[in-house]
Amino acid sequence: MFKYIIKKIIGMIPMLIIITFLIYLLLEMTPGDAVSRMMDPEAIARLSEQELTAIRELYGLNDPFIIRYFKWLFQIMQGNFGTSITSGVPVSTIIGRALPATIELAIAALFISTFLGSVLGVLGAIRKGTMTDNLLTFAGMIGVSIPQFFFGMVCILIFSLNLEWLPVGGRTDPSVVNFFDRIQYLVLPSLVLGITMTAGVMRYARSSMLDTMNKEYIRTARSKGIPEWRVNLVHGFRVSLTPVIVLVGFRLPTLIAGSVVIESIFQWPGIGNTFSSAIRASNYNLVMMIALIFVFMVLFASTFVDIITALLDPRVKLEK
Amino acid sequence: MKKRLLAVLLASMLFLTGCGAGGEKAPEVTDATETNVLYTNGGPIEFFETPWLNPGTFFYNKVLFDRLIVADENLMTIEGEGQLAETYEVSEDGMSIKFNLREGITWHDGEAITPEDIKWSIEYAQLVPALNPVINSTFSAISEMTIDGNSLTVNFSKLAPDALLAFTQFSPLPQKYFVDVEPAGFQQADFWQSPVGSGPFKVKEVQMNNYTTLEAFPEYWGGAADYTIQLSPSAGDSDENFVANAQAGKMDYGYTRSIDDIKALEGVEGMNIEQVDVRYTRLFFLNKFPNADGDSPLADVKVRQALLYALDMQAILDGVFDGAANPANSLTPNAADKPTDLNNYEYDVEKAKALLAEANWNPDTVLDVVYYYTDQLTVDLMTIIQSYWSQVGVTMEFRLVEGDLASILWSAPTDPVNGPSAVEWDICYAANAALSLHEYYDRYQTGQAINSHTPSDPTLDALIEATNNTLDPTEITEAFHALQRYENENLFVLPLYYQPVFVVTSDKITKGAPAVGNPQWNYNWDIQNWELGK
Repeated sequence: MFKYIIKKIIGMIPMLIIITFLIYLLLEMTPGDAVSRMMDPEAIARLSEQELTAIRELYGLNDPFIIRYFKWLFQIMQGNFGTSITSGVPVSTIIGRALPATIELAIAALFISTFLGSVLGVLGAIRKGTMTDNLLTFAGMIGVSIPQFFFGMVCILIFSLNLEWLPVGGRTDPSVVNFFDRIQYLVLPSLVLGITMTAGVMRYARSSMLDTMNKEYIRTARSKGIPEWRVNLVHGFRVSLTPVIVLVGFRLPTLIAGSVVIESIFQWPGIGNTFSSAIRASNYNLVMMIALIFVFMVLFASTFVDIITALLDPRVKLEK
Repeated sequence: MKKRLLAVLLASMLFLTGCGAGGEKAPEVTDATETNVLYTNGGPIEFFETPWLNPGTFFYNKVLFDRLIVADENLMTIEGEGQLAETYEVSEDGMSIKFNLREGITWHDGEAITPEDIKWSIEYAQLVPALNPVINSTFSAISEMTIDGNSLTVNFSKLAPDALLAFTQFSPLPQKYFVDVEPAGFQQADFWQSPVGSGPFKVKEVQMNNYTTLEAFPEYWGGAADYTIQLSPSAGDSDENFVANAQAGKMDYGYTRSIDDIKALEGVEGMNIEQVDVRYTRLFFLNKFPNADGDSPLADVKVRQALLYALDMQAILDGVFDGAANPANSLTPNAADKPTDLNNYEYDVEKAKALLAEANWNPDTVLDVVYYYTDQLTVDLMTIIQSYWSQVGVTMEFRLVEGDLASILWSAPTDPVNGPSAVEWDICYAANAALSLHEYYDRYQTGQAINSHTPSDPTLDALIEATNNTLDPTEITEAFHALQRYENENLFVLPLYYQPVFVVTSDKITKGAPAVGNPQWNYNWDIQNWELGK
């Protein structure tokens, strides 16, 4: 088991280097640089060549691309994440401000989508071919098709502006005392994010449950005279959860990396917002560090799911 | 069983890691529920922008910092009246200004504001690369500064016609926070995470990219407000959440250029919208330098006039902006003084065709139009103009330019008289948002660093120079009128339209709201005296 984990972790290192190099390359290929985005073009045009070179030097932009990449890489290996080009604030501070907000949102959405998706999926499987199943399948199709930004805006219109039950956006305000006061801000974005993800989980859970219910041991359980609810829940549901867990495990990092739209609509001060504004500003240090986190999380989730799957699935023997 | 236990443990670790990281310490209890709150936008996302580049764009810069002197809503200085300077005196020849600072004024951290701070701020600003152009041109004319007691005298080496205007916008800063800060890295100083100012409000709490609260500065010389200000984050005058926040009662003051925002807010109870004509002109810069293929297709004034006659700007603006923009007849907007007899180049296809024929326009010529805006409105506008011009036999193609815009748009030719052009476009669609009228015209002078498009014209140089050579208001007006007439006839640029700003306020502001001026500049707000209802 230990060797398996070590092997997986070591395998992540070259992947991380290759992916970060590609991201750095893509960033380099975008038109302009941090200075041309930070300063008004007319102000830049008024500067002498020497003044412009001095400014670019200050931000480390005069070196060739490959040198800058390896400088960044060695810096990271020494635990120095650098500073934001636009604000001079350490990248670790900026990420430390934004990441918790995104993780909070992602976990809440993940919980909602997993719970609703599993329950509704299993219900659809148990009631296969009935009106309930058809209705859930239809709802699932709508859930997959509806764009997050549209659903989010409709929810704001209904629950914030018309009914005035919930705030239009933000994560907190000065009158907030504790986490429970803050929940009102979390409800809408997490529900919108969670519900738009529910359809996928539901369809996955349904097919997994259907697959499980056709297994030999389910027929055996039924032939033993075990009550149907027990067959469904204990023997069917539990086993059918394995692929759902795999899906959920993969979803957390992708949720964190893909929260840009929801964060933008709900003014959520998370990493998605930070990432998009960093890209717009060609803020290399910040973009690279956030990208590194995203890549690491996806790779970590992949490894983690491998391990969990191995542990849950009796057919996988790690020692062999 | 062991496997299950391990699985549960790993899953729990993941969850707790997430919760742990997400469990940010709740902010301390504040008295925001007890004090009345003015909601607005423009709050910091990653840092507070310095007040030296876009002095009034951000609400916080208006209220965190005082300037030396103050302007009215038309950006005219109020004679003798000041903010940090209780009084000021301009020498008869206009070559020096003496600022007499108020006694006993302090920064928000309690330290005294001294003439040394002001002197240092001006000297430091002279080294900062990203500075407002009017402030920059004024400061570059300063020859020396002397301190006498609580007064600072600024002497100029040449006439600085916008000096007073510049000092209505320039916010001095406390020197001690910038001791080790390189001027090139001015914006990156720690100071901009929670600035210490001199204005009627000071920073109370910053939750970056979430909200920022400002509270009244009790020692402010003009009195202390009895409310706090809460800022939602947004980038300058572009706020995606403007409408939602306004409709939810979280926008008591804000401004926007977006017609869609205003349409969405019309009829919202308790919200007031006021259109303000500001110094903001959308135009076509015309490249008249010879290019690689020979003479510029726009070198002939008749072609330039024809291009303008061929556009029905009123119809275009009615369609694109729903009428909320005005056709332009000069760089100088309607909000400023200009002659009343300027040619408006009313839509006249036949006249346009005749002028093109007189100019021997080559119908195979394709005008290369560039723009840097990424909104759909710009594409719509370009498509419409393309259609209008095609009716008189002029072909244009348009494209978005990105990246190093300084080089792409504003590289001036080595020879400012004969060229050739250092840029690869015929027409550039852009905007001029000017603090001073000089800012509109000075760039067309021979040899200006950003004059990428207008070859040396001695008449134009002389007319521009005349606007800069006097402080007499009558002479200045006359000089500008002469320049505007020349511009109107020669069309060294094609002015297209003036775009207003819409100031949105809520009924919550019950008393003291200022006369509405351009919200992107500083003028006498007296915000400490505003009164808010519940």
